[in-house]
Amino acid sequence: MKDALQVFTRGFVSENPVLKMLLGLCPVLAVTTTAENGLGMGLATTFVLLGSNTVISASAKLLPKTVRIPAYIVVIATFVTIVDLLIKAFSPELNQSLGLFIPLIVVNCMILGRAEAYASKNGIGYSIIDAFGMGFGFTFALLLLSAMREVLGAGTIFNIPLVGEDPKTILVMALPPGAFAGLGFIIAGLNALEKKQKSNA
Amino acid sequence: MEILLIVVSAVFVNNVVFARFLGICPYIGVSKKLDTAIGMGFAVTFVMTLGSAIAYLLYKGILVPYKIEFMQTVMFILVIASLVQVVEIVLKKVSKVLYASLGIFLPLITTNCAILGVAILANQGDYNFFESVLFSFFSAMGFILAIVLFAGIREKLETADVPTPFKNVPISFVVAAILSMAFMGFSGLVK
Amino acid sequence: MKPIVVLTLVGVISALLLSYVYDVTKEPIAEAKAKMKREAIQKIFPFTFDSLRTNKTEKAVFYEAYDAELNIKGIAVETSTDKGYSGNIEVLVGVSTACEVYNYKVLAHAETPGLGDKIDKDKFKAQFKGKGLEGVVWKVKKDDKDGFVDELTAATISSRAVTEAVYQGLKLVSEEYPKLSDK
Repeated sequence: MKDALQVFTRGFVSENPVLKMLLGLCPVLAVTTTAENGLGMGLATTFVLLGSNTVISASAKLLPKTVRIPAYIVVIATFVTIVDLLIKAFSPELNQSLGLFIPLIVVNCMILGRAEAYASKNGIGYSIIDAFGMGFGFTFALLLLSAMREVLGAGTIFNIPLVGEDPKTILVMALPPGAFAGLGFIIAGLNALEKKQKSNA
Repeated sequence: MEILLIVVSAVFVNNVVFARFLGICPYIGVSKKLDTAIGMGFAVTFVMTLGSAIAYLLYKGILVPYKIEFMQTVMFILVIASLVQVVEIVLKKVSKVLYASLGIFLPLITTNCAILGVAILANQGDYNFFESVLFSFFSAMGFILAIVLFAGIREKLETADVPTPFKNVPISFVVAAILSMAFMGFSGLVK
Repeated sequence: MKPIVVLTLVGVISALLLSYVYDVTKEPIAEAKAKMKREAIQKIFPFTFDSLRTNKTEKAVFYEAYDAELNIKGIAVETSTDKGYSGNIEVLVGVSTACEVYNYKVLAHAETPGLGDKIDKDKFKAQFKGKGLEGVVWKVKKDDKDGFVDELTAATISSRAVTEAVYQGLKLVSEEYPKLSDK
């Protein structure tokens, strides 16, 4: 039980796929202009990760070593296409703002990474927990960056205005440079926090 | 004129890294040294151009006539993954030198989202075959430009006195931010 | 042999599963698209319409908005211009039956954020309300002192392009639309 909890929580901070392992950075930077987009992308990725981790851990023994990676990629691409079609059908607004980055979940190195490093070597139960932990960790990082960019860049959060209509904002935060700089500052902040914790202990 | 438009747009205005956020993992991951950055750049150019060309032919030749466009993602990624394998095998046989310098980057390329991203973009735009190959090739040139510039700066950064929490990765992101701001100056160059 | 068999099997399962999902989501996707278009068109009309009808000519697609008694209330048309600061600007223009602009909506653009993208802000759009073809100079003030459009600060090119696109839409409704026999 303690084991499962540890597998679940490590994705949040100590092994956070974005902030610590620097995986899946393209969507992290590209779609985090508003908190809504960040959340949507995070959940879509979590869904794909859940599907691929489950199928891959269940079928790991059946797949010959030589075609392992191509087979994983097909599994992942299948789940991505399912998510793509579902989003198009039930949330066309989200589809419009995430656009190209939905099919690109396929090449989110976090997903292939978890398949190869975890799901192929562990049972279904733990693989599902791992998918939830990593997926939520990914979503958490996206939400953090996108909330920061939306508040500073547009003066809103989840499209709710914080400082009145037509505010003067730090526009650059909503633009590409804001994504790079924002992520840099978040990681630096985390480093500083960790250092402080260490010196206290 | 049309051609020049595609070239300038792919390299500068809509640079894959700074404007489209594609290929960020290798951009951050293998840009510590200038020569590895250049090696990665060439490997990407090769796979990106060839991958887009094959993907274009398969898309227009199989997926569209049979109305199974929804298989696009699965098919493209398979093309890219197998292409990477083929290139690796051929390179190993043909040129030991080239393999030694590019070989280690090839497996990383499968999950380089710039390749799949550009292949999809080249199909979405109303390009003909020649234009889409051109677009892919010059997108790759844009990637080389971005990663080489970045690696050059990072080599200098190693000797710079950076505040401890910002060491390594965070300061690189800040540099990338400044670079992408510079690239924003190109917007308006192509109408 | 085994690797090839396994990989083929994986591919076949994937294709089967996807074609099933595609089949199931086909209707909802088409519906969602139609709904998005309907909502976009609703935003540029000051009244609520009851039904929409699409009417095409070679040059343009017109969306006719009807009230519950099937009286035509307005016409929407999509136009685009390549005169934007960076890339094309696509707009949806809503026009009254008397050939005056109700409002417009920018569907796609790549103008500079914070400057040129104000072409989609209500304050700028408000200038176009009620403007027709007669006696109106469709120019920004910087180009022609009789023009009615106050150009956006530091975004004259974007302002000029949108003015042109809206004008094109209005002209389509006044010249191209009457050619349709089926009204």
